[in-house]
Amino acid sequence: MNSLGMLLGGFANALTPANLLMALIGVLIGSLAGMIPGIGPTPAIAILMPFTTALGPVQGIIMLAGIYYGAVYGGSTTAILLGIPAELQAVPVTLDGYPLAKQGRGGPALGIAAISSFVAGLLGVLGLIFFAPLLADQALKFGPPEYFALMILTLTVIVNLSGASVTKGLVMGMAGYLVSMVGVGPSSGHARFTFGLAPMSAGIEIVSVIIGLFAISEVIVGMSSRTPVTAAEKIGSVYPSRADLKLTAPTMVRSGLIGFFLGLLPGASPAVSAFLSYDVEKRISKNPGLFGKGALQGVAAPEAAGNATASSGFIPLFTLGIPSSPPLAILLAGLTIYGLQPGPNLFNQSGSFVWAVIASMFIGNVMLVVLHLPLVGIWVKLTQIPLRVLKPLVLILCVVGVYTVRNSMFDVLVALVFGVIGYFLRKYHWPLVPFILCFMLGPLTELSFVQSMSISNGSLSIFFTSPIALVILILAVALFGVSVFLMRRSRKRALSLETNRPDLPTSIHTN
Amino acid sequence: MKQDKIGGLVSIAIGAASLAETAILYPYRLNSISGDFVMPGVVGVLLVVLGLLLVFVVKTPPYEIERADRRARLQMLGTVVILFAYWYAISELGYVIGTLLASLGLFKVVSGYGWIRATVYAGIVTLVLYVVLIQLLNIALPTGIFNV
Repeated sequence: MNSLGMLLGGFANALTPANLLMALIGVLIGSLAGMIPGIGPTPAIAILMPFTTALGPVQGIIMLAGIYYGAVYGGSTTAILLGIPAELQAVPVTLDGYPLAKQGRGGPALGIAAISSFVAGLLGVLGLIFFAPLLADQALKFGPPEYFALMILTLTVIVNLSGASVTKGLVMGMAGYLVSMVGVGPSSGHARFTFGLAPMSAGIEIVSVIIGLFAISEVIVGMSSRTPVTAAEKIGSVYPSRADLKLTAPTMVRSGLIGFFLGLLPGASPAVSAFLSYDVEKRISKNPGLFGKGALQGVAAPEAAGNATASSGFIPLFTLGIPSSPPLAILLAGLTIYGLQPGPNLFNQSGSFVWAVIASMFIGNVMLVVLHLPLVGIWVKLTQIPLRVLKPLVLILCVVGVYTVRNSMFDVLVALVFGVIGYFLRKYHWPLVPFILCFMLGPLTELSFVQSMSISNGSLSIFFTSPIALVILILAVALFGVSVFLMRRSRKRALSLETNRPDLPTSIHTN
Repeated sequence: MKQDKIGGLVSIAIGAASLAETAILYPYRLNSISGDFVMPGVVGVLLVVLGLLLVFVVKTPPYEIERADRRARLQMLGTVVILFAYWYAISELGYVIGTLLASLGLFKVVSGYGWIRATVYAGIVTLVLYVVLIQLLNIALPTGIFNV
């Protein structure tokens, strides 16, 4: 069946009342999580992922995807109204959004941000429909050596997710691989790293690690850094004028395309495309001096690019199993929990699932615009919820959520231990995402290596004689270079902005 | 930074432990470069090398370490103690009583509420979670010695 037919089937699946409800709940929770400073998309997905296991795979992933793009969408509200970028990608939005809010034009800024997100989100989903099956068609050509090469390619993502030090990111990645090996060895059936403890032989549950590192430690870290209470300015009407739309429409399309194509690269996060598109718009603008003081294009560009990258990031996620950002790394874990193996075979083996999720992303984008433009007043009030009310609830949900995955108190203990470890890792700026990424990829990497060695009678040349594996390995080297270049560029921009704009908060979550 | 050099030493120690496990697993190999020993070996070597780089070669970019004040430190410690106590209480006293006690402690320690407000909020949280998790989602949770 062609893509259009599969997409229509996906819509039929996504438009069932239960799936629509999950998409709605997802975007509502995501918007809320994105708006409340201190939560953000990654912890929100981590906390709620165990509870979605009570649902089916389609409903669960529709809800998690809804939380993701809802949070990306919602993040712009606090960035514009409070000047607090919850994620790195929201920093450029803050640069012009907050000055606009101070000028009493927060409403049009929010409106432009919402419309930019919508346009870019749709662009990204359209690209997903046409590009993803092309990549997935290569699925049947993938054997163990190609999978192993793909895992090596995925390692290049670590560069992008490592924060300030690639060396620390690599150490964290290797530690993740190490923890993934706890349990029974795949070829001998012999216990590894279990220290004689019976519960360890079943391995470490990924949800426990994610909840510990991303949710529990986040709450503990939040106790030492108190977010200042900031009042939102008066915002005015959220519906931008025709002139505003005319001014920003080309920006939306340009930045949406930049964001989309960067999202195809494993290693380019929404933050990279947000900074890059802001830079491009400033360079080609007739009034570059207005940027940083309240230019609507300065809101539209990073918002469109970031959202397009967030949507097109699902292409490498679904087709290659490579996440381009921390929330997508958690979503990848969500897919594996449901027994789905993201990668070249996902479209062939679970096509109806993938197309239902893609269709739900269309629907979710429409829901977000409908929810955000007319109801902006309610969302603005929600940004004022004190985090201290939510923290105890979040911690209780973390404990119960971890328990429900395998009905295991050992898993709860693991989550608490990783929560404490995560606190120290965050405190000393050790990136967490490389750890999770390698923890997830560890078993598949090892299995594909063992199988490749069996096929080749122990010869490593198998990785260089397979054309696809060789191309992927060359691509891995090239992407490593591109990732290092792009990240250095984005970091330089972020640093220069922090120097020039001391009013901006410096504590941006990069974990 | 000094803290990263300590992290490098920890990396070396973990890598050495992984190499020790590699030696234990080596007799169970499939061939000289395949078997359960390969990944622990590769990861062990890389952890040792990266650790050495962090200690002796790489200069990591400086960063600001946020120092918590005494009140925040006590709050963090109290939270961790309550969470581990919650883990124990769920097994012994059951989910409902454990959640009531843990949320009471968390609202007191984390939110800083007085006893009355903390008790009311803890009661509401326990009740809402009971209805959602046990009544609506039918999730089986431990009932403890009181069978509640």
